[in-house]
Amino acid sequence: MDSDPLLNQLLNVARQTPMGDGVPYAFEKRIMAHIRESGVADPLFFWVSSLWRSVPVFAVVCLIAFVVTSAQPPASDVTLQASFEDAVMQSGDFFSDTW
Amino acid sequence: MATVDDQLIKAVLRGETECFEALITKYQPRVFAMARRYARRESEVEDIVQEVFLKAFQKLATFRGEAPFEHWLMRLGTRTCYDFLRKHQKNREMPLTDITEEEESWLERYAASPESGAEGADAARTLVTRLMANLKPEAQMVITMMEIEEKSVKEVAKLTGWFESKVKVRAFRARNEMRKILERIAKDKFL
Repeated sequence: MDSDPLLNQLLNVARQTPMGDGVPYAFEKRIMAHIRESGVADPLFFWVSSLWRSVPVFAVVCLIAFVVTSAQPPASDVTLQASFEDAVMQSGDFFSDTW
Repeated sequence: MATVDDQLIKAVLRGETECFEALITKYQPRVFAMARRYARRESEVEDIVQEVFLKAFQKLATFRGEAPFEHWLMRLGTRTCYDFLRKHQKNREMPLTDITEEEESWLERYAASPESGAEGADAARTLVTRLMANLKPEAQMVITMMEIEEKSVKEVAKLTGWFESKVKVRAFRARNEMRKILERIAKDKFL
């Protein structure tokens, strides 16, 4: 016996069974009470949650800034190198002056 | 022109939380009917509905207004029901060896005379519940929405967030799975 007609018959019965849309008394009040208890009724909640959502954006911006600045040679190294050269040259000038 | 729902949503986002109650009152019958398709106990149904509305409140700022609020809410509800099925999969299975006398009688009557299937609808419904309880969560979702609620592939894809191709594959596999389970129940006696 082919099980398809049997399956179709069963699904047909399920289709003809509407699910009740009855609601327990004052159910919406219970939900509102939960909302107030959990602190999400605070108007600041939406601002704070918006800030949290922007954290990844800031993280990406910081990462890009870090990568860009890391790729460039630090200005202090150039300054240090120049200072070192100046110091060496000046010491040479000093010795030449003392002759 | 802003709808009543749009005005309520804007008020909630401005901080007038009490306006959310009107949205709950308006849509809870529909959400209850949906939850009753997936949960057997009324306490579980209430838990699902409560979670749907709490999530809706928390995510209200993400509602963009491109589609009616009801569609957005039902999408949230569908995903909450799917999470419920996945979380309670083990608890929901109904042993195939435990079919009741009424279910057996229905199967006997059907085997003898298929046109008598309309009688004993309660037994048939219990059988369907038993078959569905032994399906994987995604199979239960797709059978419920496509075969029982008669939604299109496109509608199911929108509600679940799955690609249409995935919905079709899941629908095909779910029906096969149901057929196999039914054959296992009825093989020895009726098929």
